[in-house]
Amino acid sequence: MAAQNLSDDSDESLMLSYAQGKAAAFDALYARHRVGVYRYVLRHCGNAPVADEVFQDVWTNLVRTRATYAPTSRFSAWLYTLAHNRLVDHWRSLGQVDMVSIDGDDAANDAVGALPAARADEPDERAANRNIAAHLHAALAKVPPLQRDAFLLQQESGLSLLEIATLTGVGVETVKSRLRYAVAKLRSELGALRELAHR
Amino acid sequence: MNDDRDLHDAALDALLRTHSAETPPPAVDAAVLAAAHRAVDGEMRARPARATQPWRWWMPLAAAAAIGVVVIGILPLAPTLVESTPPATSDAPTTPAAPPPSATQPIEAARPDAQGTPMARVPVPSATDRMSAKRDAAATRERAESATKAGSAPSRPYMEMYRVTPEPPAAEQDRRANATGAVAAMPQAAPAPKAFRPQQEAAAPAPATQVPQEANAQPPRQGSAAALTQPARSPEVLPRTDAMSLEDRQKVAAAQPRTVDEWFALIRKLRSENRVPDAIRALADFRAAFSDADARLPEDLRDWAKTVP
Repeated sequence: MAAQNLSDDSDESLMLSYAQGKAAAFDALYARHRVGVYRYVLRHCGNAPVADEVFQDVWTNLVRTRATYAPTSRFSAWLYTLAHNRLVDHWRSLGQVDMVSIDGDDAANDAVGALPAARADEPDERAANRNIAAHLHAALAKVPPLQRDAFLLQQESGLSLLEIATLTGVGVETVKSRLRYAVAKLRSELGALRELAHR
Repeated sequence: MNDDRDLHDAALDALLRTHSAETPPPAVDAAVLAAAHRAVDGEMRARPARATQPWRWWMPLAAAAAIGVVVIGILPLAPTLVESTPPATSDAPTTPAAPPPSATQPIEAARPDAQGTPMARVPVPSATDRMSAKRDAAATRERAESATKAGSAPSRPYMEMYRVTPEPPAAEQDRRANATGAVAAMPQAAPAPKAFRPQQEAAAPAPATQVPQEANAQPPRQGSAAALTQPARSPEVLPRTDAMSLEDRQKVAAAQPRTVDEWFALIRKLRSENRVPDAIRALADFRAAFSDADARLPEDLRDWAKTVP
């Protein structure tokens, strides 16, 4: 009975319940968002052990800051903000925080135009033999972090453009530009696989 | 439309969803859940501690206050309790250096002789008589207690003395041996006379009157030092209370003397009925009840009382 009530509750009410000391509410929240957050972190890091550490830190931060949670926005936005901030810390620790990216629309268009053509000429046999998952990771790794971040936030969290913009601290148009760049990049990287999946 | 197509790629989304099987390792799940539960449990444990913290400081004070109240309440009662505690009955011989007052000597004489010869026996009463006697004793005891509480009766009622009829253990054992099983179970319904002795003695302020009663209740054992120290007694003063019928005892109990004249009437009556031991006891109790008892005695009793030490 109680489990059904928890499963019917919204993320926000669950988080409030957990902040008030109801541990079962955290279990429900964790079950809902663990996979999305983990994939978001893993596809950013590309390294499972590091992803595990970052993922654990994200949830630990949530536990630690549970008292400060206010349901002024969606819980998923708050959760992915924690994950995003943790990833930024991770990138800074690695010296990879080159936040200068192709944010302007014009520049983005230029950059997308400058991308290499899709690998349509790549032999199908070679693409088929590849581990598709590894190929996906490799393709995502080639996307610059900020564009990849916007793409992964859109894919895993289901946040709106406005929420992604708020989360990342940029405008909505910037988010669109990043998404456009990331999609174009992935199309070019995963051309053959993409065509296979589309069929 | 163009924007949407640039921002979303259905084939790409499908490819990611289809080939995404990454999940957090179970160890990480366990660690995260454990941390979350630990944090909440620690907080919940800390909350009651904080809530009860203001209550904890006064608990020792409350305990000390309770102990103090108990001590203050009990200490003033302690001497009273000690005084009202009946003296322990002992088989140890009484020292000759402290002879009992003269008023108790006749009753002392009521004991069996130094050789342990039992008192003159009377025919063993029937079981019905014993039952009625015990019921009678219980009723008598209640009346005596109520009279003692009222403070109008003498410190040791005369009826109580007769109720505690001297009865050597040998005679008691003989009686019990002759009693039927049903009757043998009856003493529990009506307490034995000895059981009331502490209450009886507690009401007596004069220890001089307690000593003979002890002597009446527990005759010395054969060959004991106490028996050797007992004075020889004449057959005249041997108690004959066994000869008192139950009706007489009831009469005695009902006619409990309260005034000097009642005492005189009772002693005269006992003498006229040739109940010398009873009369001696009545005189002893009268002496115990009044300090100037001998001076108050009338002429006819005064001469006789001079023969009674």
